[in-house]
Amino acid sequence: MKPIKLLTLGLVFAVAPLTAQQKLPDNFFLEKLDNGLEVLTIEDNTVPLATVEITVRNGGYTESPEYDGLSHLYEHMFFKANKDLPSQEAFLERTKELGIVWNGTTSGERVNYFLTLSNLKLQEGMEFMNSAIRYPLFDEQEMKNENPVVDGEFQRAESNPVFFLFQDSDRRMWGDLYSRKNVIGDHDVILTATTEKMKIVQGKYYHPNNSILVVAGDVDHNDVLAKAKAVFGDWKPSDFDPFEKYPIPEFEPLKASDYFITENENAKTPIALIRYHGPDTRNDIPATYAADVFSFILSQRSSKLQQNLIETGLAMNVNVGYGTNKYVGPIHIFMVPNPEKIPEAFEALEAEVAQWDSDDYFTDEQLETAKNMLAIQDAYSKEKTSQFIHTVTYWWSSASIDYYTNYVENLNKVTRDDIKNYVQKYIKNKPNVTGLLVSPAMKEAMELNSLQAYLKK
Amino acid sequence: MKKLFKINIAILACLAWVNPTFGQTQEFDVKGLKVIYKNVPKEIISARLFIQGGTANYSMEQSGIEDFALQLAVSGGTKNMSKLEFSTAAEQMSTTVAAGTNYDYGQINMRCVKQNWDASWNLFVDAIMNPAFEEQQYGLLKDQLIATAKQNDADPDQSLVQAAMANVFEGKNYEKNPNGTVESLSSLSLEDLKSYYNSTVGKERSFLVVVGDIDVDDLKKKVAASLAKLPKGTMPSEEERNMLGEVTNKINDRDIATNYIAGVLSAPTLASEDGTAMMIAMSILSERYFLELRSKRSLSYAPYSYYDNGKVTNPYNWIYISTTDPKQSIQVMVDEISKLKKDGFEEKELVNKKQKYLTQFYMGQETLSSQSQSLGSNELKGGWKMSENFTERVNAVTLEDINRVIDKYTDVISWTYLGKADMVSEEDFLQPNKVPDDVKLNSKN
Repeated sequence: MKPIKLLTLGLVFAVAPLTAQQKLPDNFFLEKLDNGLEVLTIEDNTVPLATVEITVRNGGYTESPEYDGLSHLYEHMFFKANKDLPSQEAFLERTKELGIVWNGTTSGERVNYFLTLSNLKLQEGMEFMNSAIRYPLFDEQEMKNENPVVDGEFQRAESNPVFFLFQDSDRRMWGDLYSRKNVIGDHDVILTATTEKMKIVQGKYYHPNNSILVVAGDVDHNDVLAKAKAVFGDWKPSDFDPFEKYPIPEFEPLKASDYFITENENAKTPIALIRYHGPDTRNDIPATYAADVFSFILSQRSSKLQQNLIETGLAMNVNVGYGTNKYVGPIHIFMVPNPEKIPEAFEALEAEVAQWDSDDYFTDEQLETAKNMLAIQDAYSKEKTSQFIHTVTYWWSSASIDYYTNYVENLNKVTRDDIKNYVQKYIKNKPNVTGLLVSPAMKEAMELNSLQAYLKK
Repeated sequence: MKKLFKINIAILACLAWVNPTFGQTQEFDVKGLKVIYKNVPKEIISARLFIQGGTANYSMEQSGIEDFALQLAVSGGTKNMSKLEFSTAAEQMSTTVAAGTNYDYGQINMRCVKQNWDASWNLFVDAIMNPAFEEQQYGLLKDQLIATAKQNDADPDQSLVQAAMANVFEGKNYEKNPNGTVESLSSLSLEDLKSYYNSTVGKERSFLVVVGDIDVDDLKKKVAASLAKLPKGTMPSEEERNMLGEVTNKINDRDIATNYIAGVLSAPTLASEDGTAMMIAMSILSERYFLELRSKRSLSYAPYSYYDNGKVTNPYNWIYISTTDPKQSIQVMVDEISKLKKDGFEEKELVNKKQKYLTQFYMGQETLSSQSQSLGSNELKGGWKMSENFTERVNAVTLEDINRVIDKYTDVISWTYLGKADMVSEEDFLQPNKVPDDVKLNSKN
């Protein structure tokens, strides 16, 4: 067991002092290669498998409008030709030979690539990953082929009406910096993407000192480290910190509450979405913990929110959550109101929010239950190592490894005052973006022209 | 409940990773209730009561009744505990007691940490044995399920599945929507639910699966004192299989950004001699679809095929795509099947696929919930041992086996389309070329 090493990136430095002296779990082993690549091994001998993941600090937040969606397109190009596998066919063939289950994801602040295979083939798996992450060819024809595939993924999202509710909300939440939170991207940008743009993304972000390699499963950490050094040790680091050289612009706080209607003919039932700008891991870590605990208080059946919205029949579903981010995590209230009682549901919700910072809004028992729920959920998530690895890298990207390894302990320290501060600082009487998804028929029946006017009425 | 309240964080920290997952499975009977227990030395326990029948248990008009009744049982309180007392007790331990249903069975399941096993078991069996079925909770849940049904209908993938099942299995059990429709859910009374529950949840058609590290004698005692007291009940009636030999195509018009297409084909049961080979054949076909439809032609983000043996009584093969070019996509999908019918698979494809199945098998063994689900669903398909001898079954499949089944079960495709109706017509829904027997012999030997 080794004390966690401080990360060198300035952005992460801000969070380090809080937890710098903390230790990793017994089965975590973290090292850093000379080129800056962090190597984390998570030993778990449950099944004879190894999962290899590389995560890069890239994603929506790095995208100016002309790059909107290109982190995601880049992720797709990872699974194509590289210097050792000259075509996607060859790439796919190699995954089959090794019995690999593979995928990649792109989100606001992370792009990750992962594969699971027999632990006996760890060496081959790491070499396969190395070829793909370091030496993509960005073959022009393969790019042309992939653009419509990525666009097809976009169109699938657009085929569900709830997608438009979130997209409309995003435009209002993030204003001029919308592209920085719009992971799926822009159709035109995707369809006209060039290999030159891919190389620009690569040159900015795809460096060992902006990445982490995680190997989890029935493996030995010394063996993993030796293999990592041999395979990735000559990956040349950048001589810059991408987040200093290409800083992420700060999101402007919402100036006033904003209301909107999303009209979609495929909507079958009204759905409401209310969002606020929440805390982030650069500026207000205590609030991020308070946010998670408070969300779990509100999810309990006994909570006032559930009792006054669901048990009264005013809403079919109400869910409050916070997405931990390095750059303004959004707080959301997602509500499926009773279609016959939409104004009443909003009114009741507003009355709840107004009480969220009062001393008697939740009981001590509910506070403790929320902490226990979070702790046990965390334990459940560790059961599936091939997925748990993604949780760890999420925290690495949006906070730090030790943010996560001390997560349960820090949740346990959350007090009523912490929650009150969180509510007062980010939610109560703060500007928000409120939207309602309806079909044209619902809109007409409700005589809905302005959501704000409708709710006041 | 207070004594359970503080969870030992130190124990949680090492819950999942210190012990191998493979253990001993045994089957025994407790006063007429079958129990399958697998000992796995972990700190989590998963229990599931499977109830056989699913859509065979109710009429078309009652679609969704099983889901509604089971959901009300686990979420509406019991005769001993109010809804709030029950949910609070479960939340304090982070124990989940949940219900689900599909085409062939329903289930009530529970997951807890070992530390809370006794108290969690009590909640689990109280929900099953003593559901309150109270009027107010019935009304609230009904509204919620109707809202969910509407949301599902707005989701094109869920909508496509339902449309395809209604198209292909018209007049059969699988035409019924297990989650119910707005109309069917609206018509179900509380008395209907009670009556359904009491007549269905019995020892004849149910069995219990438990995976975890517990004392077997203690488990037997617990079952004897609770679930073994369920009424004997009856077995569900059996329906003659629909072998899907006739083409039925259906176009559903919806103005959405892309178009969703499903083809349904005949298939063997998993326990039959063709079952495991069918699974492998359709999985290799899926890889060919990825290559031909996505990589080479950019026709789709998501083409795939698989053998749906999760439909226990009437399994089928399923081919699927979302695309803005339906005509060309269908052509390629069908051509690939025709090619296989004529030329068969390559040996290398089979060898590689076996390797990948081994990876997937182990990934499925990572959690105790997935293990208990696998044991239970295999019990319905032909015996829980099929869950444990999966790799042996896969390894025994030969090239001849997969060539035989891909030809045997792919003569007829019934297509269901959800999207812009003016982009397709009936003649676009192609069928594979049948191969004469003498040609088959020449090309596959």
